[in-house]
Amino acid sequence: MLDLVLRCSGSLGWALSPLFQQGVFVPVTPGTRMTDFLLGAPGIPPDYLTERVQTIFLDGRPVDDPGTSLVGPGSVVALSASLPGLAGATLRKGGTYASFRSSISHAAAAGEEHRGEPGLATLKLFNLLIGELGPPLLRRGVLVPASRILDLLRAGELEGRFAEAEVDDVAVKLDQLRGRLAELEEEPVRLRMTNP
Amino acid sequence: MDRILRIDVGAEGGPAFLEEPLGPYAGLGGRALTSAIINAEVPADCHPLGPENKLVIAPGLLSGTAAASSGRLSVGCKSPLTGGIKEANSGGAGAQVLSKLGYAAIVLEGGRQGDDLYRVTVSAKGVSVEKDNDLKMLTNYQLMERFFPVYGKNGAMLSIGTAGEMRLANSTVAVTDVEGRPTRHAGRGGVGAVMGSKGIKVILLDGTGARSRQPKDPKAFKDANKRFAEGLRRHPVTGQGLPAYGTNVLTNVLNEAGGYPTRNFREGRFEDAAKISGETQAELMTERGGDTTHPCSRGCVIQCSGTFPDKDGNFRTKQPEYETVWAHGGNCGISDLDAIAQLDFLDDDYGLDTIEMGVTIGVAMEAGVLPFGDGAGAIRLVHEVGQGTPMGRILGSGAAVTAKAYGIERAPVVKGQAMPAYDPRAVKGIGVTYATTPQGADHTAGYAVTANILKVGGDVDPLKPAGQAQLSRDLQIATAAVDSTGMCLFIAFAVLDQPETFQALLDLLNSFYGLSLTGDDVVALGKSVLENERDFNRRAGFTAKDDRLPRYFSREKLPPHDVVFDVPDEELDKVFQW
Repeated sequence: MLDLVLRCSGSLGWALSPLFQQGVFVPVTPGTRMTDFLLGAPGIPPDYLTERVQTIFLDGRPVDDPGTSLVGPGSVVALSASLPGLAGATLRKGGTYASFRSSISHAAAAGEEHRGEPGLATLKLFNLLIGELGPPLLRRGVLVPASRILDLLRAGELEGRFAEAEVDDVAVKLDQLRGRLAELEEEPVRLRMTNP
Repeated sequence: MDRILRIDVGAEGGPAFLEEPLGPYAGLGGRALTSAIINAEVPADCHPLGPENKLVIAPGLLSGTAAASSGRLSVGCKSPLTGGIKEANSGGAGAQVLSKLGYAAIVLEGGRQGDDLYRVTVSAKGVSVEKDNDLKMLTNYQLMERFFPVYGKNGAMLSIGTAGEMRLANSTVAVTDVEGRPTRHAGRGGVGAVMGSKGIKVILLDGTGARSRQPKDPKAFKDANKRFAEGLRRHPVTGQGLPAYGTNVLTNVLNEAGGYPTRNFREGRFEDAAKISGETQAELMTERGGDTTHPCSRGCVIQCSGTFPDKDGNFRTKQPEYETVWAHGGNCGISDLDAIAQLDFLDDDYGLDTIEMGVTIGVAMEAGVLPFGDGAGAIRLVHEVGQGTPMGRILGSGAAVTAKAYGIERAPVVKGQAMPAYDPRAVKGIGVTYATTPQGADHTAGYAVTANILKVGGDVDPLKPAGQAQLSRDLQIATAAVDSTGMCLFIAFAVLDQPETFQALLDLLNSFYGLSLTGDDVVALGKSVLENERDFNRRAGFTAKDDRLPRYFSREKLPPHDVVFDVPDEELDKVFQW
């Protein structure tokens, strides 16, 4: 897997939303409890998970009990902070109005089997969590399809955004990087972004 | 706030006004007052554009005081869109100025004689009603240009754009914001058309010399207000999420849930949601020098509004709300924030409800008038509405009429009013509210998530599916009460999680008026508002059959979760049994 490091000259803010709204890949073994998944590779602190992450989705379904929901390769997990109004109250984990969306809620199936090889789950972050969890995740490293990194490098002004790019520990120029990423298409790339 | 200003537009020799005490309406404000007056004084079977209908404009019980986030204005009438009772609610500066000038309500009544337009001016020195036909077919921003010197410093303007002047069923009463721009609206239900039917184009509120309303117990009020404001600031929704992103913070989450109505409610997920999300919008606005944390009315501590600049950094429009971004965005397959911003501006300028307008365009797209995703085409259609072309008059009459004109079943409306940005098949409880509220499909009618604090109906187990009707009822009761106080509904989340913040709200009311209200009294207020509204609708000819969603919501599965609306009719009929 290609290992890409972008050493940014300033804030990582320009990259956070595009990357985390659509999601990054996180390695997972089949049948991992949601709580363990989030405390594991993404490294979310336990009290942050309890207090700050108010809404959790698993494959598009609101989760009420992360302790019993199971994640595996191909799962899509999305996290959000508190949201306004009835929608926010309805979708929040274990919220008073959870019954309003009972037909789309995630319910752990009894006897559900999770077998197979380890693989990749997708982790999305929304709203306040992007700015709070995104930077430490990027510094640790995330897996992103090459095409999405290419989109990031195409969009907006990159002049001055980062000082250096390294692929597999070798410095590369932006044009070279774009070429390498274009060849990889949807293959995941290990991306780390650092700033001073 | 001890008098009502009545303007009789049908008086001999031209509109005449009088001021009178509240009389039987004493103790009421906001929606409680508008619905009480409409139910008592408007024949339920009248034509909404006829002389018997009235337009009631009322600030809330705490408006004009120092209470945080208390600047909401209620506008009530018989709705030209639904044919039932209507309360449309707006932010902006209007409620505070009107209440500080001492008015609990302005009532426009009587039958317009001829086609002259009038300008009303209300100040501490008095009231004037003057003929002003130079205002004909001016848009709201053109009115701002003309009248800003009158109201700009410490007042407000209530106005109708060309849509209201043409009495289109989708037309608003615009209310100016803290910068004096006509960006806030009493939007739903065609209240602008009723103002247009009375020949009143603009109401200028000059706040010079008007003072904040003073509480009976100033010390207790100050203390309660401090606790209340601290509660709002402390809560992550009202203190962080809304100030940072505005209401469009909901796009990504509703989309993830598969409840984001897409392409005229065909699907529950929009593939380009991230391009128009609140997160993306906030970044774009910040890059261009816009303001993402901004109050729509003075004294609001939540500050969920903002200013959206164009590519050159000039003001384009206010920060579009979730409902606007959805209606003109995902619901129409449009993923260009600049096109959506332009549509938002045009809605403000012509005086159109963005929900109704966006849903109508979605119906037009379904009908093949233009393709889904055609932002430029959508802009052209809104211009047609604002200019009153024959096509524009069809579209400006709302989604239901447009669907009928084009032979389309799939009009997502209840009681003739377009559904907002939550698909009822995914979030069925919201669908119960859409179906049963007297207001027509309306997400804010059952929005105040304080019900558990109020213990209306007792504690509810959140994970049990039973009791959707009960929850919707509780929400509607709580919302009707909050709508009567002048408080912004967004306080509700902080109040839900923080009982001490709810207590601070009660203490605000009690210390201002010298009362001893409890949660039970708040429930009683909410129930009385709904009873008035249900009574009016019953006399207007509404039955249980009108408390239903369109049949196709029970038939068509909504991807990605393939769900339908299957709340039984018997359950819907239980909502108002108390």
